[in-house]
Amino acid sequence: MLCEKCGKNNATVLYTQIINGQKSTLHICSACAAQESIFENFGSLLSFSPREEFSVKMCPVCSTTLSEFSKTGRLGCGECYKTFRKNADAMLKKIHGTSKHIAEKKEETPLKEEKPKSEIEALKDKLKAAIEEENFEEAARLRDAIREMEKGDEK
Amino acid sequence: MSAVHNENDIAVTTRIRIARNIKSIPYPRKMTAAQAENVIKAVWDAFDNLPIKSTLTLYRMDELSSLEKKSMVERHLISTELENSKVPSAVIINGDETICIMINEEDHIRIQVFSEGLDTKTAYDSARKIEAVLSETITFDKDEEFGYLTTCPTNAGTGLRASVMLHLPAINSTKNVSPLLKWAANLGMTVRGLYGEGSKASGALFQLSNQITLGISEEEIISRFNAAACSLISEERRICADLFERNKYDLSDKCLRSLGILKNAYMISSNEAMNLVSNVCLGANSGIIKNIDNNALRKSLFTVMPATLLKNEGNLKERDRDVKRAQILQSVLADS
Repeated sequence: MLCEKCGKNNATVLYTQIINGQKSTLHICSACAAQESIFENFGSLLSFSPREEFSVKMCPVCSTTLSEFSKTGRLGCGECYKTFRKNADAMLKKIHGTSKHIAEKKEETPLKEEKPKSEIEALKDKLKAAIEEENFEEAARLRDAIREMEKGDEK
Repeated sequence: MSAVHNENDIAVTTRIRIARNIKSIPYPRKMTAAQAENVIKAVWDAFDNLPIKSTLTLYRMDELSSLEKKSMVERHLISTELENSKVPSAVIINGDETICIMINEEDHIRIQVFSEGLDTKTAYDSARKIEAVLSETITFDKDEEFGYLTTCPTNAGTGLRASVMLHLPAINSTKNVSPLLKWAANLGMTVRGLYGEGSKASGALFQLSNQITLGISEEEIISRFNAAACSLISEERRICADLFERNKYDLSDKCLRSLGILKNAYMISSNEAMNLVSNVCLGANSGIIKNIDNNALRKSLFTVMPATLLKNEGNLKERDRDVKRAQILQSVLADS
């Protein structure tokens, strides 16, 4: 049979589309199949949907997409680092071996985070010291205390 | 930090670069022309009422001729990326061209400070001061965890890149630079050609720079970089001595022959100039040639590059350019 699209060549491809749950099939030639950008539609058949993910993962400020970031290795604005945090984190780790910046002494550290952490941090430091001193009884007590506090935090 | 020597028999110039972006403004690749103008203004205005401002000049890329821009690229003041920038962009340069702030290159702000030889301390201190001045009026884009944010994650964290231009004719003459690249990568450094990424090492000039900008302190970045630069310099000296010992006749002939051409040729192309100067400096470092000021000679190379030569000497035809280049190099030789 002839291609249902161009009507010129022999149809060699059975092209199945599922749009909004509606299945439709077309008999088309290979040239038209190529034009239909088959790969885009194949994407939706795979377990994850790249199209959907790309459309979700677009920076709200500068419209950089995840695929753009993967292709160029460049981000478009500060918000991109939040939008693509996981990917940026992975990339930073790949390049620098870590993604944790070490602030200079001169750089201000925000005060808000310090307070709630300080008690737990202090206990953790004590725990470390206890382990180093091989004082395991004390260490176990501290560990439990830390767990209690962390539980409290989650609630 | 360990003591740093100027090592300027081999180290030509050191550059410290700090990359910063302004909070809440898209980065240059995504910004509008109006936003780009705001960034230029914010950076330039940050120097208001400071004594340093009188030494600075702001050059807008759209107001410079292509020749002037090319000359700045040749002298390593700006990158080709800034030269070809699509958004309004500019550069702030001080009188002796040791401070050079690119605006709206890959990042909003790229502070660059140059010093002679291997001297990270002078350049770093000065770059830090400029960063502090800018931070008085500008809020930088910064993340709790990732540190300072940059267009390319390769610069994130500290945004600090130290690099030094090294003249490595002995290492280059072994025709085997791949172990060098491997060695550098192991130390978290990279070695590139004269004009950065992907460029050739013409005249045996290489650039060593740190690759890692995040997860270690600035002090650590600088000290690791210095250590790498120093060991590369001593390796060059070792190979240079080795070459001289094993191949005294050939090496002497090569260096002195180059000196002869440099002193007497009527026309010298820019490529030839790079190689001749490289050989003469190699001769000076191995004691074959006496009374040569390596650094002056190498510096003069940057004044005889095509665009810079045209900019300084007016519109010369190609052959006249080569004649002029020979004359300039000969006058430098005569002075030293």
